[in-house]
Amino acid sequence: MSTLVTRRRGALWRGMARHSTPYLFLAPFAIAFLVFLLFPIIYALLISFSHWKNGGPQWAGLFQYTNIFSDSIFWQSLVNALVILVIQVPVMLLLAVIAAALLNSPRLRFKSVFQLGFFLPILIDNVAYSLTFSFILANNGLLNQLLGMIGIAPIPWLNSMFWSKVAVMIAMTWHWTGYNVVILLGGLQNVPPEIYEAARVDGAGPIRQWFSITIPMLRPLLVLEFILSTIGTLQLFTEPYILTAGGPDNSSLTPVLYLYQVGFQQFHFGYASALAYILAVIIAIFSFVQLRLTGGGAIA
Amino acid sequence: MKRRVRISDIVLHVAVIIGFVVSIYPVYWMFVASSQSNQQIFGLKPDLLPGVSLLANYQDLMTNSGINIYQSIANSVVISLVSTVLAVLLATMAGFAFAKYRFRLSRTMFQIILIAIMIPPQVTLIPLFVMVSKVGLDNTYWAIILPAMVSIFGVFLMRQSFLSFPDELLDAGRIDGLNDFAMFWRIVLPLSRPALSALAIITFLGSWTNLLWPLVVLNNSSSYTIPVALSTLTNSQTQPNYGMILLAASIATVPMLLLFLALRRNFVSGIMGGYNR
Repeated sequence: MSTLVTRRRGALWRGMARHSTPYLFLAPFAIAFLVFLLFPIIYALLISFSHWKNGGPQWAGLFQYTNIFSDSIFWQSLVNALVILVIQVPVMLLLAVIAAALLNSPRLRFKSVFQLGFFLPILIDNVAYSLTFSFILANNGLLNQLLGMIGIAPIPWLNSMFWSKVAVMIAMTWHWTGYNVVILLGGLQNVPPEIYEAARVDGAGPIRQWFSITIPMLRPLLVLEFILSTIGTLQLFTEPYILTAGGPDNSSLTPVLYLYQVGFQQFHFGYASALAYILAVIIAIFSFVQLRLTGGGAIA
Repeated sequence: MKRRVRISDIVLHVAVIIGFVVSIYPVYWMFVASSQSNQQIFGLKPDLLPGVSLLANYQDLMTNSGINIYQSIANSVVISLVSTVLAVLLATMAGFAFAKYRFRLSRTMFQIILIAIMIPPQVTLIPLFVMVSKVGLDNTYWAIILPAMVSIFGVFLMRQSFLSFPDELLDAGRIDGLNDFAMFWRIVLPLSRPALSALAIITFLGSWTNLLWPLVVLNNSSSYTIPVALSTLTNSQTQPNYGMILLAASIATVPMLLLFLALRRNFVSGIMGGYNR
């Protein structure tokens, strides 16, 4: 009798354990998620509807949000990011596809050495490379020295409203192209070589193969990279912070750099939180539109 | 068998060499110029050979820079390692639960996580800062590690990789009397090495290079991570010693280069594999 009870209790216990197993697997992540992500997301919303006074939020309704609409500095930072986005991302991805295709060519010698070289920029910390580029792009820096050797007058990379964005784009392209090349190389290695062989037999030249095989095969990955790069550019911080500090005259200020200045140099927590939420909405719209236009790519 | 050299081959190699040089040249310059003086760095002609100011720059870095580069490297190593281990472990367990169990809240929880990934990290900057300072964790490793434990990308990646994990292996383990946690530890994890190392490398790189959050929450030079320490170098001096700054950047780069050399295969396939699935 007693053994029966214990056995049944054991079965019950095992049944409960079976049911609770997935929750136990999930619990550590779920707790961290609730405390360090979900709660802050909701708290930020509350802060964005308030003034931060005496170490706490005081309800201010939509005050912060209405301020944003007349804040020309924020809109300029957004335009700056969009200019960088529209020019830098396509240029970088084009370079990355070309580099990946070249590095994947069976006719290339010393392939692994070259691949390592293209990979090297990824290993340089964002601040370290931004510092390096801030000296390379200085008025009497390395790039202007090199340009001087072929008779080009020094370009004020970091000190002109026009060139400051170009400087940020040059540095970003140098650093991030390799990352995209690696991802694309992974995609290219999944393309069976027989396809190229068949194309060659059918008389397709390298250019034709490029457009008819390489690009279509890489399309899903390119869409993914395009969306990730868009999000990354809209959240750009380190490069302008180090290279130009957003200047001159806010010409290279980005939304996140502005958010940092408002939040942690002027300590306007309410306004900075509202800025963060507006930025979140803008990023969401961009991602959504891109997903729609591109039909999903690797994500769907 | 002799290969005929074709023009297209020459074009191919020239193009690759140009890209190669552009990629490595700034890194080479960073290292070389760290031994140069300001006059050499900003001379009229590019100076591509090591200078003679290495020792002077090093002394400047040790005494006048306001940072302790080795302490910063140690901070970065500890923070990045612990964050990566915790983030990968949590994401892997959660991904396993979502992929291999049917439970009541599965769909709801997954959808909440899906919505949360739409929110960019800048949104939580201020509330996290308020939370961390309220409990007095600012200037500690935990200020960085705790929020870094939540990797939604990791949950997605691991869930995706577990979806193709054979159920037969799990059933075999159960028949052999393993409970689910022993099975996870002894069967599932060892067989998921590629996905795990992909996630670990992507997480580690992200943690190692993160500037914004550490910049906000660390304001004591002994707790600086490498990016924060480096970022203070240009604005702490009136007349910067550029060679010294580049030397700091070079020293800070060495650990990553060593790690890469040690794990080269995993590194490349990690970044490839993280996105190619």
